[in-house]
Amino acid sequence: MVKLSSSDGREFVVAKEVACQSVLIKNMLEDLGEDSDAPIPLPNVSGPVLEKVIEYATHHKDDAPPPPEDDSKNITKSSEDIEEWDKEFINVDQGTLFEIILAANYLDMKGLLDLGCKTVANMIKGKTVEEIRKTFNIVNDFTPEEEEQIRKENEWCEDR
Amino acid sequence: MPPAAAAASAATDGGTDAAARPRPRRLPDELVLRVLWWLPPADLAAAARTCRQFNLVASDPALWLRLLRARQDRPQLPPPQMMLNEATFHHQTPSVARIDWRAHYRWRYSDLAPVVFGTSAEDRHRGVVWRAMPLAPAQQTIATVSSDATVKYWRPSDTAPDSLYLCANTVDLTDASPPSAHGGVASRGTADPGRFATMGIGTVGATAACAVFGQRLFTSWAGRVHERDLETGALISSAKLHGKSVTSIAGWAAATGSDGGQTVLTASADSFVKLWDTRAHSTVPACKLDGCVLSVVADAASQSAVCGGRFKNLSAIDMRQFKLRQAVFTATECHDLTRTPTGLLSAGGRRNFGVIDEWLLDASQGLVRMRRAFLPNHRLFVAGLGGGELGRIVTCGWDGRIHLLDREQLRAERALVLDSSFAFTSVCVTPSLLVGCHTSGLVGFRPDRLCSQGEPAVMDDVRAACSAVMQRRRQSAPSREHEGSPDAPTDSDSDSDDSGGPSRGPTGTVPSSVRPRARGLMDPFGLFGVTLQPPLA
Repeated sequence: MVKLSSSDGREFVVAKEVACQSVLIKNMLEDLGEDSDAPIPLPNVSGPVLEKVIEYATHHKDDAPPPPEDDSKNITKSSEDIEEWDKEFINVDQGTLFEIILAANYLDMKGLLDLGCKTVANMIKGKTVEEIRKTFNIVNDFTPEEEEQIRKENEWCEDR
Repeated sequence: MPPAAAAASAATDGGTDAAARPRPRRLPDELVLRVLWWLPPADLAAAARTCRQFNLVASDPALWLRLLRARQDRPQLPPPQMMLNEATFHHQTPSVARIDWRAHYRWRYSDLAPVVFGTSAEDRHRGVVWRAMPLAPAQQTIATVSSDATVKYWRPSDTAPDSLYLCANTVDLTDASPPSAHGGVASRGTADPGRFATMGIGTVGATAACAVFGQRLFTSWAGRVHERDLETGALISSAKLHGKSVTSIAGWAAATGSDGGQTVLTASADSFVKLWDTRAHSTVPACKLDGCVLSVVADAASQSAVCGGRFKNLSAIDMRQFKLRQAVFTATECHDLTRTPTGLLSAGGRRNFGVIDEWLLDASQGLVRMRRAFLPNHRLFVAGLGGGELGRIVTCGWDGRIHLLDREQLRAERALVLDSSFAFTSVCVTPSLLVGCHTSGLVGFRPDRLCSQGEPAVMDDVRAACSAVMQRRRQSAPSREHEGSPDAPTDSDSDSDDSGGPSRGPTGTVPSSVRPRARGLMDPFGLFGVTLQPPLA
């Protein structure tokens, strides 16, 4: 078993194969040695998010390790291609979703990171510019001239 | 955060700590890239318009290379206009990272909304449209001539830039004389029965001389050629010049800069090319060629007229002596000729491929063929050519396709496949319009949707950079040869290469050593296995 400590001081005890879904933790464990009892500090991950991450890792602990990046498959894969359980799992509010993505990036969990990014991409899909800004609370920081220029450049796909 | 979203998040989180937690407002660039990675092009373009960060990330080459790959499109080197700067040419293998792949993708795959001609069905031509000609470039007016015996003028509407309206009186071509008995021969070689009359249209108004000498519109109806006022279409003079239909008219005096644009060259299916002086009412048969002449182009510098047609050579006529100066065997017919800043382009072909030749018109050597490109995509002949204004070559064919070719490599970049039941007769390109004439009307696009303006200057830069590289190669190649075998003769090709164009490249700026390379700099997914070079400081 491995002890993980979140940024707000909560400790989680998880099985080693669950913790090792994260490449970061796996490398840390290898560096620290097998029999270290000290909790692994994860200062960039808060308690609730770590809980979600552990939930994901527990469900996927029996998955085959992800194959090395494959050119041809990666191109044809679609963001709609999400498992049923994952879909339910990632159905969270936007702030949590972003935190999960950041945590997955920090912990180096490719599966979870892709899941999060695909979900955000699906939120962008089919929306107009204004709708995207509203969804993600994005501030339009273009000057009017820049905006006009960029509108022209991207005009070709306006009608979809 | 909008109130609705805040409420929703509070509801799903169901706790007070949701509001207390600091929320990440932005993702770092590499995570935005991972998100945008999953988007199709239309959504990617929409995302790019939201804010600066998204726009910057959305221009990442990896994204667009992936989309090109997904289209089974082997990422090729795009035309030089897409290069971010000419520094590419300093390395002999251009770097993928320097290419604006977003612009390249847009250029190849953007949806083009066709331009609408006229407001009602009566506005449109009812027959085969043979030619479209730009009249006054500033006003963006084009004239089209059709077998329904009319010339129509079109101008883009100010309110709706995607539509053209009839902006002047329609000129009736039959007003001066009824169609003659052999008016039934169609201009572009198809033997249509009925009253398919033949027309060529040449305008002196298209050149700079029009402002000084007044504007003239030349039209033909069967073997007759009419000189008209450009604005009103009123007949000024008329002459029966040819026994068969006139296929092409070129302004001769306008090209040579002498008296008033009143002398025109006419080419006809009766295989004659004639010179008509409208003021003196005199006609000179310049030359008789081997068959039906389809296109004639005047060249003032070498005092010659170049003709192509339904015979397998390209002919240059000496206009001082009115005799054939040169006939270069081409093995294919030539259906259209167009002038470029450096020479001539001819288009033709056979049943299963099209051919484009580039010619240099030299005062002493005459016609010199620079290169030839085969267009296997054009199932039938290439019937029209144009596009110097775009920095590209536009071809159209009887196979119902318009192709846009890269000017430097004469390679097909993009096909606008419309309908194979159309046969295109000619194409006309202005900076704001691309018009194809076909057997049942007109079709138009706005090329500014395809590429940004002001490219000729970029072209020159690229050409200079290219020639600098070529020159460097030429310099280094013989010297290496010299070391290997001291008796080796100097390369004779290098002399002929020099005639191709003045090499005025900035040779001094070419770095002698290849810069150190970084791998995976802008290819975070390691997908393309390409060597990427760091951007120059």
